[in-house]
Amino acid sequence: MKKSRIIYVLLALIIIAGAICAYTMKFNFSLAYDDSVRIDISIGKEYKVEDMNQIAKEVFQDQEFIVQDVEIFNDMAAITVRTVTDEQKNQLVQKVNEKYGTELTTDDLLEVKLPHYRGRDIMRRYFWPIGISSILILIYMLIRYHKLGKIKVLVSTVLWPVVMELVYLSILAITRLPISFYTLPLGIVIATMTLFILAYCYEKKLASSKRKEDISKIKEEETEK
Amino acid sequence: MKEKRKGNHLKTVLIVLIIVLISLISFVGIYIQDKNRMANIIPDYIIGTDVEGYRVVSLNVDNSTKDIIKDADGNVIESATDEEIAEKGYTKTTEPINKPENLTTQNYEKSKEIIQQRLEELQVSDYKVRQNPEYGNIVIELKEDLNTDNIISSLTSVGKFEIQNNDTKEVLITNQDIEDVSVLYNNTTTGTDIYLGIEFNKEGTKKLEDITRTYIKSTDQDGNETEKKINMLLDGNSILTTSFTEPIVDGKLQLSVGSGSASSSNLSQYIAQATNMAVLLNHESMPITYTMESNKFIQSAINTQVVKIIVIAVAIIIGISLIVMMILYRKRGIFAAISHIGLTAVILLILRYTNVEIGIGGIIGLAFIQVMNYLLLMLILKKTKNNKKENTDFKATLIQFCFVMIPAYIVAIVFSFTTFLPIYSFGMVVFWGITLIVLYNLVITKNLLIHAKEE
Repeated sequence: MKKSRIIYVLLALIIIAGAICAYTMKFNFSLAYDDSVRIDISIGKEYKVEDMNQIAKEVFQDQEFIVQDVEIFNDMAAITVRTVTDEQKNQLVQKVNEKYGTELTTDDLLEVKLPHYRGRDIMRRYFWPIGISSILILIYMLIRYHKLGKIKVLVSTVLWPVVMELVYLSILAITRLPISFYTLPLGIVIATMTLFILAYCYEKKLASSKRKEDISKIKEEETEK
Repeated sequence: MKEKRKGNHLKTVLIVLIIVLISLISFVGIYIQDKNRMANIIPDYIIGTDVEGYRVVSLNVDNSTKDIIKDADGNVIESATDEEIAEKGYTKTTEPINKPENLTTQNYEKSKEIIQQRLEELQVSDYKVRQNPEYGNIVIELKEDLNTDNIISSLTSVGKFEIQNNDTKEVLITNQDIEDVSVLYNNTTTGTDIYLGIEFNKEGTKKLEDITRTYIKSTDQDGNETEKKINMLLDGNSILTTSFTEPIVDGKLQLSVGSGSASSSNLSQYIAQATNMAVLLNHESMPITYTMESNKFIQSAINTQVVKIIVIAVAIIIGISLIVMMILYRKRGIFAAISHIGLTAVILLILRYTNVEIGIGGIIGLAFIQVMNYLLLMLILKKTKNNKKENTDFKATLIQFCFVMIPAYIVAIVFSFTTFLPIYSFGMVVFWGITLIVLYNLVITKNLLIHAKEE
């Protein structure tokens, strides 16, 4: 009992701390998910992503950036950064011209403003699959483990995945780990693992209660004899 | 007794060899000569768009202007030269494509929702849409395939449908009168005819009936033939100018798009055209007109290099876990580890042969399956360690595991029915993974561990 109380208190503290961090500092979104600017550079010659990475490092220094290939001809690059100044654009063009012997100007750069993703737009496509699976899982858990107490099973099956997701979000908020391509799939895995552990604990309890029933039946038969 | 031991030994060796063979096929492949080069006959992995890349389309609010020429009565003139304007007393004004009062956050949001609805109707499996709520610009990321260009053309259209009086330009029917639009096919001896079937709602049906009774060919008292025509427009472009021969009372209108034989490329073009029009008309027209600023294929930031690093990291973790298993359970641990490698090989083969798209969700699903199988093997090894009834305990543990995995199986099955790639990929991988964990361990691992024990 003491161990489980400590765990509950710890989880509650993590969730509270996470909620405070999320409210005050908001979540940290990775560059791919945040407001940014994509600069398309048409080099006109084959280039290597590593070389463009190096150029971007020199131009943008401490700023986070992503270099990507554009189309399949390997002669156009896209550099995504949060903000870009005219000076940085001039530097970029200069370094590309030096490296590849081109005569590009800042007018040859295409700037595309990329807005941030809204949480609800990302979650929108997960809503129905998660909703339907949650209902079906709840029905299964109630049918399979009704002997352990329907209300207890219902509450645990709903509560524990929600708690673990809140802990996961709190950890993201506290540690400022960026919300990125892995965040939602990992969240689904955490919920699934939670249900797996819950079902395992219930199976053990069910097996234990069945053994107790069998033992008491045998004892009854013996006393009758 | 000795013969039984020999038999068990042979069975164990045979099972291990089968696992080694399957692992080689899965991790290395089967190569045959094909036109002066060696080709792998095992199908390749299908990489998901989140690893391969997306077509990124950037739409900006159209801030340009258009010239409107009107006659003295206020009727819009389609086109006129400067001389005609001066001669006939027309007026020419310049208006913005998007009126300032329409450039609101609400209308931006509505336009984005309409685009999302169109993508859903076109059954685009993987897409992301984001918008700047202040300026209204939209960025759409789409899976790159043969249909992408068709899809993009239907996204940027406003979708404004009108039936007008051809002479007076009076608007008779709009999008709001439409109930449903579908693509219809009619097979004939010469090929297949493609139609756009427009079904009007209650009010639209009444309007259509009136139109089809009014806009007809008729002969007046002097014997002159007159014809009142309607003009059907989509985004201001005329798609059909016609009169009607008989009234339409059921509210259903069929427009011929084209026809072709099954083998002709025209047929697929007409189908795509009709599908796009159906998608445009099935939803409200966009309140804002957008222009395409950029339309490029951008390779994923999560390139194959990053994926390789993730896979290697996961493989190292699994390797260390298997070493721990071998240390704890010795001979039986070694056989369990071999069995685990075999399961991984079989899952990867199945994923290749069933054409499952493996994206980030799929890779995470594979890691999840690795963990599940590892836990199962540790449970089996623990429960059958010093037990005479190994066969019974093995089956009992496996059955218990099946019950415990049902919630994950439900998630996998539900997710497999979606078209959204990250979820679909995770669902399919976990579905095959759990199915194979149960069957494979029942057939292969059980025999391997039991024979190891008997030896």
